[in-house]
Amino acid sequence: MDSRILRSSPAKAPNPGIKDRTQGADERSNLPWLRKRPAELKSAVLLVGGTSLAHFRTRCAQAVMRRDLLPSFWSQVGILKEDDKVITVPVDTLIDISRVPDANGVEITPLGAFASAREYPNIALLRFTETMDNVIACAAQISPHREQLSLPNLIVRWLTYIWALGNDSNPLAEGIGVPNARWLESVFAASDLELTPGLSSGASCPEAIWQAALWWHEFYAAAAPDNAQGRRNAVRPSGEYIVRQPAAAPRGPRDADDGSAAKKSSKEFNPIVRTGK
Amino acid sequence: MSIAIVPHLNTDGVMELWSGSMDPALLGSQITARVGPATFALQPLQRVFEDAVAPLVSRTTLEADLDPGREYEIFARIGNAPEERAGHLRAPAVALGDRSEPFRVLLASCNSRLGDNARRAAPLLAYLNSKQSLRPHLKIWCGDQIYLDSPASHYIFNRHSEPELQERHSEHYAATWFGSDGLGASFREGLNVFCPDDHELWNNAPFPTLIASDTWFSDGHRRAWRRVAGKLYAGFQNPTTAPVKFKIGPLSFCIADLRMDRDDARRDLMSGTSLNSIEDWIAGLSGPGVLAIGQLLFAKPSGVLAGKFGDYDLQNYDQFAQLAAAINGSQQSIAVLTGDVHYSRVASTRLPSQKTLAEVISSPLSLVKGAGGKWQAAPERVKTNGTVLGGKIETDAQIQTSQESVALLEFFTAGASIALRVQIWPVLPANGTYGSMQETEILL
Repeated sequence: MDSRILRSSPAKAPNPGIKDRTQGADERSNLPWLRKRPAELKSAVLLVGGTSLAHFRTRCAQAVMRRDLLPSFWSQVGILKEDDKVITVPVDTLIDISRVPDANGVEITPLGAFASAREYPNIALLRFTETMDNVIACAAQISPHREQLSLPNLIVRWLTYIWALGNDSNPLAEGIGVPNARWLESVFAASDLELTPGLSSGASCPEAIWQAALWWHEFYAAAAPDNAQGRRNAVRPSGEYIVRQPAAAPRGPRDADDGSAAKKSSKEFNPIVRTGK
Repeated sequence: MSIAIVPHLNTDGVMELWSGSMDPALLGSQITARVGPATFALQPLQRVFEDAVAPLVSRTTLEADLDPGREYEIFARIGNAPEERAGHLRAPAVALGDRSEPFRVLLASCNSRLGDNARRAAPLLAYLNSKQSLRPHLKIWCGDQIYLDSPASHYIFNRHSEPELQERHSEHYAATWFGSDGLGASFREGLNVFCPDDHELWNNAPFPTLIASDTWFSDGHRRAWRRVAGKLYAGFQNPTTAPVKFKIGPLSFCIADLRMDRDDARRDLMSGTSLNSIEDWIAGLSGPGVLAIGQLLFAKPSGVLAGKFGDYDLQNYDQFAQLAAAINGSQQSIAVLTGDVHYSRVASTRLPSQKTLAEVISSPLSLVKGAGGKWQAAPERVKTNGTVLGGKIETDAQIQTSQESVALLEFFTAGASIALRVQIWPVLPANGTYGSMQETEILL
């Protein structure tokens, strides 16, 4: 057996507690939906599916975790706090690479960073536990410990894949998880909640977390006081999502927002242009 | 909580709650446990040594009516204090699942508490326990759970009285069983079986070892060490040296102690009763057998000097021929699980019955200082007293490492056969994330 593939859930139907809010969603921004999110999702697991090259390639890499081998809806996960800040481990938007080792790659980002529906057409909020307080406390406790989970190692390995440098094979095939998903799995594990029950390797990824919410709901719901291993304080997962782009497509320098060819000519010399001082 | 509870699996699948503490005040205390529907008093803690206030240990047979295959939390209460969670266990299954629901066994050996990476083992074991799809149903600790003769830099130069040995060895056990960075946390989560090897006594026991001067010249000193180490082993690991035998569906397990009754004339590895018990187990197999032993089956005997100053192997003992003959006569496949050599390896051969004889080595969990292993392929043949064990032994090319690691074994039904999937999980995570480093599959 290939250990990359997620174990089948015993559930016969997807979790009815995960609600599709795509219809009627604002076409340009995720903020209206995020602002109206229900109280139980004020603090939750955030999933986004992006359209940058990095997000596109991350979505494609997770195809090996799906039986249909299609790209995942999702490319990044994090913890949304009630104060509208997101704790995550970005791969594509490292603000200060000198801080990465010290911070172990963990960043706190304003929720507004994920506002653009053009950049993040897919977005979900998931709830696995009654309260996120303990999870957030665990995030603060375990995140600095590079000796146990070295996120910079994962980030560098994923960058070699995203940029197709050197060993550019799919990191998931080597059991190397998506950094933010691997971090989130460890944070939840520290609070005795298993986030990827279907995964039999270290290759955590947003897709595995999505499938946990969608298909492993009976696992969480079955937690009882005498049978709570890996699901202490768990609730049957619930949440909402918007998927505007089910089939992954990148937004490249030659693409207009709607996916058609941009009018500007394709140039070989196409440097990043820094603006301001 | 000042008490640790470790679930053990015994012969016939009987579960037992071992409890232990270093707190002398608990002598005579009433301790109750709750597992699933059952709440019951644990057997009172007893001193391991009559003349030492600690450690204290007890064993209580678990008579709760538990659903096979289901996980249960274990709670404990000392006197009238609030109940606290003490661990968990999964009741043994009565059938073997398919590939998606395998019976998972963690195999580990050679755990030096004083090794450079000793503190790295607990996080890996916690990670494996934290995941539903990796959590072992059973943990087989396959020898050298403790290195009583370490640090060698102390024992090579210092000799000890029996009370001193009691104190030092008790501390060693306490740190491993109760310490926050020992194996205690893993022992508490899920069922355990223990199989000893030499360092439960001393290197190459019962023979003198260069690294412990207490063993050099005097039978009296060796006997004193053996008394102390033997009581601790019986108190913490196995109270008897008889093979532990149980079944999981069609799989039969036998955990065989080939160390604690070993003689110093290189004749017997175990008592005649134990050998007969293993022979009966092999003869009575109705499906594949899993035999856990502390040293390699697929090895050549050590030379005289290597044995005297290093380690004697099973093959150096006369009784090995009887064990090999019994295995050779098996009408069912046998997977031998072992450790000892500071590298991990999988090898297999065909028995005369055309069934598979496989050997899985998982070693070390935490390397004892100065004893790095050098991976070696299995010998092509093992011959003893004219008996050739199986046919040509093939070494699996997928599993070749001397890194500190544990093996995660998955047994599952595969059509009409039973398959064994072996994964090696390194203690030091490659690329900063835990994952299986090497894996292979064998049909039994």
